[in-house]
Amino acid sequence: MIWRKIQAIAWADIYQTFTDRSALLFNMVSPLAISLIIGAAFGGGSNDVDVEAAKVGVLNLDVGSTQVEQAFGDIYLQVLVEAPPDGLKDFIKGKAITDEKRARQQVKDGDLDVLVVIPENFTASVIESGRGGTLRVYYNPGAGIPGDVARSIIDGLTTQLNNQNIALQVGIPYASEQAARNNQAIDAAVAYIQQASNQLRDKEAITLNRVGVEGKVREFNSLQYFGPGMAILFMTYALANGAVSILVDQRNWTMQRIWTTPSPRTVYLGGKMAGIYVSGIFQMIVLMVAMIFAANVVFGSSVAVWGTNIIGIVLLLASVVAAGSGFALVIASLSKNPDQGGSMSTLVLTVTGLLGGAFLPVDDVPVLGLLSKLTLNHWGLDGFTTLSYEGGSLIDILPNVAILLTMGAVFFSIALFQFGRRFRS
Amino acid sequence: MSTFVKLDNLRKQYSPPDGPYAVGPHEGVNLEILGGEIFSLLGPNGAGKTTIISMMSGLLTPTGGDVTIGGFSITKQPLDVKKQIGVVPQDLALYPNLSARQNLNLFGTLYGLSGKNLSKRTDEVLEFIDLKDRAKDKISEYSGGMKRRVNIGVGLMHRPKMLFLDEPTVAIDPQSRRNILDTVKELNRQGMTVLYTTHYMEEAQELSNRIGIIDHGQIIALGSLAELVKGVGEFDIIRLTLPEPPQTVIDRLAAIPEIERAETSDGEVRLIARNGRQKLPEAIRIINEAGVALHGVEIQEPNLEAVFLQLTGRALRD
Repeated sequence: MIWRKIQAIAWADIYQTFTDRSALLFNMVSPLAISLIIGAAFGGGSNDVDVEAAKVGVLNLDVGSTQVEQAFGDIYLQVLVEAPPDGLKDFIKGKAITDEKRARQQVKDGDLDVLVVIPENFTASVIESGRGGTLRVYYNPGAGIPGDVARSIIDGLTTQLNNQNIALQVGIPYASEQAARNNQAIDAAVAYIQQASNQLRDKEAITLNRVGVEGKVREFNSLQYFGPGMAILFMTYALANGAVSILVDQRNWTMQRIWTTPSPRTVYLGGKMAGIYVSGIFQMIVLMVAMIFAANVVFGSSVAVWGTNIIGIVLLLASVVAAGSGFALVIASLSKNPDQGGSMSTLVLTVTGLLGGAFLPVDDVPVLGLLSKLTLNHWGLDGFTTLSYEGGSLIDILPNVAILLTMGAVFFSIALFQFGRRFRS
Repeated sequence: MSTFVKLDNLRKQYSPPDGPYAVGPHEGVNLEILGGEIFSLLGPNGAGKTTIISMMSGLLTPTGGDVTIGGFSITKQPLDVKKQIGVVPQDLALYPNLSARQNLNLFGTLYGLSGKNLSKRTDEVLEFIDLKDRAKDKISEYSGGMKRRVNIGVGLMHRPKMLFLDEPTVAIDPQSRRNILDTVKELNRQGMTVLYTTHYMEEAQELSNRIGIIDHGQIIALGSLAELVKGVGEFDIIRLTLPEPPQTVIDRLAAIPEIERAETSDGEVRLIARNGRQKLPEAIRIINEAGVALHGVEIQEPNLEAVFLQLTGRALRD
């Protein structure tokens, strides 16, 4: 019976929330429109977000050749893993691989963006056989920008080797030998180097065999950041409206009237809390679906705004709305009347939205980055981008879920305490 | 009729121990309401009527004393008390964005109704308040009178034995007021005990079996209309319409033999007088001598206002 009463109060709240056209316009259409506008302004691209370093694995099986001092495989290992040049350090995060099968699975899982496999006879094939050597490059087509960056670097390195290094490495020992015998032979040596270089370039001594690995798609779109950011922000606004409705009920005497019915007072608060929470969940779901559809229409392709990990999304959704509901109730419980509650919640939630990165990423900004971690917006947004952009797993977002649920529990406790004090007669 | 409600030494102090007493500042309020009667609490705004109703309905915890309704104590068995009472607050305690039917269903559920019982009772109440045709319209689209009817309807959903109506006719048109008074009479005719608070003496006079006059948190008179008026004796009220009368005129009027008291407010001087008609010529003479323009004269037979005026020295509307 108690549960039916709680349901009745919750239903009244939900019904009123979703039949209020102006509130719907504000809470649903605004975040959708703002996200799409920002997303479109950034062209669905990544201009606004730092490019992550590409995770490159190098499996070097190359045993080298007697004709060269350094195996070509070592050059790749040196450039990509051991000592990347200054200009590449920020874009490459390489590691030496020993197990090809496992590394290919890592590419598939999104843990590696690119895997370069240098075969055992690579140098020998380039130098001795004349057939040229082939590198196998495994990549995840959905790896997005980091994957593209890594492949570009490998392409550039290979081209450089094709054009210069191989020729020099082949030519220098020969030229040295000739020069030692006869100074006049230097001209001949240079001519040989020139010829060898041209020959190798024409032959493209090193070719890249690129193998696409179907795995986790990591396609970044600005909407993956601003979509969740705006959805969480406007969800908190809506939750605050719901929480402030307790003060409206008190002013209009509907709350007191409910208390004159044969129902414990907790029924009212329970019903209101349930109504606020379910409204928040429902609003987020509608926004999530709407953003996916709108993104596809605007950007013309499928954009995984929220990622594809359904369980992760559900967990994050449940926890971020719990934290938001609790926070909204705290604001309402500290407000004297509905008017103060309305203005205070708008101010507080806009500030926490700003700090939480709803409008711009602030993680790298001194102080703000730290303060950001105190907001539910940060943890919700971080969780959703971990799932969508970074292709994170359930384990990756568990800290976010735990923090949000803790926030929710603390906020609910504070709100209950405050309302208890307030309504004590 | 047997006692259905008993207020026993009831007191309410806000912010104890030093806060003011809204009810029972001098001594606790004691009162009995009989089953099946309409009992009116008559008093000016701020007299403590709503505070008493709030304690009786479990909204406020008494600072002292207790209320027993239908044999149950509001402090010890509040849910049992609430099953027997319907409360119609002074404010329109309804959800404006829900329809009349949705409001009735919501509160019906909170009163413990469900399923077919709820649906059937909602129809009956809509019929009773004559809003079946507009049942699906939002409350916000209703007129003031229609809202008041739904406000009453909500309190009737669980067929309570007793109905509390707290100033149900404030700020509504005469036709709607008439409708509400008729509704209260009809409910009482069906056997419902009614506690009706008002600051309109006409309503208390028309409706009540018994009346309690309340002022500053104390019940200062209690009884039927006849008993209360009898207590005033032969006093009439002479109402003289005198815009801005000089104090000297008021003092001279008050000095007329058998004039008990002279009060002035809102451009009117009220004289409480034994044998008012005989004292009128002298009062008019004093006014004429002072050269003050007399705009109107009315002699009122003894009524509740005279009772209140005599007991408190103030008019009910003050």
